[in-house]
Amino acid sequence: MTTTFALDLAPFKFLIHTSAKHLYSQLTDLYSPDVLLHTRSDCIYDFEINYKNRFWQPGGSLAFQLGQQHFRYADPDQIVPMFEWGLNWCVATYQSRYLCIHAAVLEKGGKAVILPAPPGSGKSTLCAMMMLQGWRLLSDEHCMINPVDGAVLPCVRPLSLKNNSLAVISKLFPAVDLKQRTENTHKGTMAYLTPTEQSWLYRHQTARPKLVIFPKYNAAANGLSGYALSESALFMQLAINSFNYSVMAETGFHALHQLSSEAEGYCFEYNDGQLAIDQIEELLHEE
Amino acid sequence: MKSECLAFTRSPVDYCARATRVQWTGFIQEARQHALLGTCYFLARDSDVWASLPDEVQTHLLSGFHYAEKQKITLLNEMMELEKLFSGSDVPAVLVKGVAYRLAEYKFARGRVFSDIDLLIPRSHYGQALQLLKDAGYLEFSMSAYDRRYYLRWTHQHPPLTHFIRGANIDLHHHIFPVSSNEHLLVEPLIQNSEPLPGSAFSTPSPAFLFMHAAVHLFYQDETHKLIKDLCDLHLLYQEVVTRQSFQHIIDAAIQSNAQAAVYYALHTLQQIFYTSIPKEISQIAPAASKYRLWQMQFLLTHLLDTTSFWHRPAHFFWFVRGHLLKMGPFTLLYHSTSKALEQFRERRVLSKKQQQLDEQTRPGDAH
Repeated sequence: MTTTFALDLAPFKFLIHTSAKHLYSQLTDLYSPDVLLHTRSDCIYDFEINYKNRFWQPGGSLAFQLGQQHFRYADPDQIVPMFEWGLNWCVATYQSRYLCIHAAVLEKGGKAVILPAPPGSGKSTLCAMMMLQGWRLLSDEHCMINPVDGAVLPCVRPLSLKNNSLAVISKLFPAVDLKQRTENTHKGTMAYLTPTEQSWLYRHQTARPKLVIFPKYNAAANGLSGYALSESALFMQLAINSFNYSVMAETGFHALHQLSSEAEGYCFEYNDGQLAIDQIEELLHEE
Repeated sequence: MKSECLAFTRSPVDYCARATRVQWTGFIQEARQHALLGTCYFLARDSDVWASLPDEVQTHLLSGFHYAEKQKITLLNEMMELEKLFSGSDVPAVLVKGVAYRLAEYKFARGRVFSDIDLLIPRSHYGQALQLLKDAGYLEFSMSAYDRRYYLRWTHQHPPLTHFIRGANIDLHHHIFPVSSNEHLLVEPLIQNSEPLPGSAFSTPSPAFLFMHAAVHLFYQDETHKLIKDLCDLHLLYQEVVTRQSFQHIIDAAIQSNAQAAVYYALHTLQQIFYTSIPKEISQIAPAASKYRLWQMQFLLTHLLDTTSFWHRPAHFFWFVRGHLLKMGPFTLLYHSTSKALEQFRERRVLSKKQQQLDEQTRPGDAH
């Protein structure tokens, strides 16, 4: 039996056909009822996804597919993380209207802070801490820049946390509920944080880029240290962290140029995320 | 469901006026699947419907546009490398297919995605050209011994050459159709009728021969996954060819190349799918086409393009067999199928053993 439902996210809408009986109810844990919907005929969907098991696949693995394009097989007990990774894959691979940087983005007072970083640097933990302290989440994975006006587009989705981050967040915010905890994925233990109400509510509202922070958590560090990046160094670092800079050629170059001249870039190293957040607040209020 | 991309290509203005939002969803998925986003972007721009397109559709057509622009740069860069190679030699090289459309400045080539550079070299200079490319770092990459022999013995091209640093692919052809076929197409007229590109060592076939080649490519092939793209290409190419040369030139190209049947089927199909009006001169090549084959092709195409049809899946199989039969005749096909099946069986056994060993040692890779 196939179930069909839609995720009416901004800026992309997904249409999902799945054979997994519980996927829909599992996703009600993560997505607001405003975005997890029944399909409508007055809506254009950007990505039509099949997430179904195949009779020749032993153990009931589900194949995540966009059209004929195959992403991965998911174990039956790991369908939620693989679904989330699949959506990331669609956005990172199949759109190049917007420049897409691998980064978390949060906003306060109309000003966006972009946190690009390679996996394992503590980006998601910092992002979760900021969101739980009242920042509006735009995305924990995809920083979308509109090349036309240089604005940051939100791409609000559940915030994914893994391994040590889970314990850190539970300790700092005991009241917070981590959803859909899944053990033994190839990235370890995964769990999700639902975006705050204001993050869902303003999911169509863009922000101006103001700060770009490259965070690095280091337990052995002494407090917080950091340095400012030159405009050209910032440009190069953003290009390295971008999914589609090379595809967007000239348009991508102009978009990155605008971003790196409009925003200021810093590298942070810290042993306590709160120190980094306080410093970010301070930088944001300068001028 | 019928193909949305074909309907859009037929008339962007009509399509935009009538398409429902459900159809637009299908259109985006299909255009992405068949790499037609860039082509449709330029069609929308040229026919002045861009501003009326829904925002979601613009998103994906823009993505296709960016991708096509990027590919243009990659292609021109690679051509500059090849230019250095060939301008220093006396090898007459003809560019064919996608790269010819692009360099001969066909409008529809602006949004086209290509996967390799197709070069056609006369038999007399073929060995020389191959050596030239190999010396410049275009190398053959791993392929089974059977597949390599298959290429060399039965097809019209060398096993694909890939540049060892840049990764660019070159298909080096000496004919327009597999030598194992019983169709006896001629390649010499196409080479004689090619026109040099200004300031370059390369030439491109004249418009009529370019169309003839596209027709041969489409109607003697066995693959179905690129069918919709190939049909759109053929239609858009025809529209431009008839503005560059007269229809009689197409007929002459077909007759000279002994490709009357393929060209006849192609024109007939354009009439069937895109409602193109074909001049009556087509009757000169009609006798070469067999009624049975015409019916067979129409039947298969109709069902290949209609995903709801009962015959949709069987049509894929029949198209595959039909293409192979045309390429190599029944006896060679029998030999080829048997060898291929045996080879795949052996390969799978080795692979699954290897995979089991690997799985025990490693975990799956990073999934974004």
